[in-house]
Amino acid sequence: MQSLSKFIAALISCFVFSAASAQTGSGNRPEAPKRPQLPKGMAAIEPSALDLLKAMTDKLSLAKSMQFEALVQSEFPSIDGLPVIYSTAAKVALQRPNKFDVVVWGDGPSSEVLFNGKRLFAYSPEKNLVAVSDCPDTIDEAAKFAYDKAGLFFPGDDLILSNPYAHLTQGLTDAFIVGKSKLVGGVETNVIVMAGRQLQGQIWIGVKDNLPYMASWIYLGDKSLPRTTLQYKNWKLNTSIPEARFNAGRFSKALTIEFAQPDAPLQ
Amino acid sequence: MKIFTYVLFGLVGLTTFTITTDAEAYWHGYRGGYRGPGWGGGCWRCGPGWAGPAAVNAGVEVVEVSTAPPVIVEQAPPTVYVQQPAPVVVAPGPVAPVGYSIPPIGSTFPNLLPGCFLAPRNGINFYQCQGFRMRPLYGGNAFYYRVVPG
Repeated sequence: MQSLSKFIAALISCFVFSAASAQTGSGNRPEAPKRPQLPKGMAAIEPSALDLLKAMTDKLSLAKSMQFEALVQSEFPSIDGLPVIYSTAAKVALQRPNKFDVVVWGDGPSSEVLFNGKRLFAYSPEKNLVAVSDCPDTIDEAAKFAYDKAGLFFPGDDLILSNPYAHLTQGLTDAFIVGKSKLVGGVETNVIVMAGRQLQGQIWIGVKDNLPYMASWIYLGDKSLPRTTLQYKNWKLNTSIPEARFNAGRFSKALTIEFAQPDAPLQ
Repeated sequence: MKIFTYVLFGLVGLTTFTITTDAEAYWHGYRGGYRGPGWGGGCWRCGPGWAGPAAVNAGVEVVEVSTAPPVIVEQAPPTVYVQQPAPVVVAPGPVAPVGYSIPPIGSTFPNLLPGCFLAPRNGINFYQCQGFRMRPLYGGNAFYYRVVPG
């Protein structure tokens, strides 16, 4: 009898600890400051905010082709520990189901990332090097392959996926509408705040066209809490993209190399 | 003893239920709306001119290959930047130990060191430098050169 009571007490103890921990894991964003108590009736995730996000991502995922430009401003700490902002620009072109090309330039070397449906290329015009690898044949898989194989990502890579809504809302703990702005992207935008366990920020979505015009994210998993802000412009959906854009022939005179994470063992 | 048992069970429960799948991790470092400055490499005043191999600890003594005095390359602690490759220096450029020392195997440089020339071997492009070889690679959104054996 005594051992039974011990067992029951242990189970209760287990349940109490577990409930507390589950609460921490799902609602309070461990990397972020603890969320203050919200007023009664106020939801951490507003359905109307998700509706706007869904409208944006539906528009992007239904597009057969997509072109846009991005200006990226990223903070990275100097050796002094001070945040320094770096700016780059990118021209992105995507042709569903299996092609994308991203040309990046700005503060730092230029580069180009091309997925032509079969192979992945990363090209440096300054160094005249091109990394080449066989690659899975869908945009989603190619983007993941690029990240896994070489830590490669690029502006807008979260927007070109087949289901960007699922991607953007996974792990979401907070989402609400701030209001409207007429100062971003030259159009009127809805401003939405979003937060997850390791990332929080805002996104500006066009009121009329449901396209993203700006996004700004803070990375909570990094002690320096760096912010990256992306401004999107010159959107073109469902327009014809010259096939030459996805032709890797222009890299033919570059020295061929391989993809490898800097800390990965070489074969 | 009883309290210890309860605490133990509690901890087991805590461990069990706090192990999250963290499935949203890819929302963050992986395509978290794009994260710089891994746009192609480069940061000003962000650390040492070269990044040492993972197996080499801070304060590495590099190998001497000439009669010149040994050179100690002080390596600052690596910048911890979640799911972000180690930064590389674009300007003012790497502190190249060329001419009197060999960087450790596995060291990486953002630019080819002076005096190196292309020397492919077995279908792989390498650069032969003064007493060591470098292999050009792409990773972490940047082109870089890694010191390799041979």
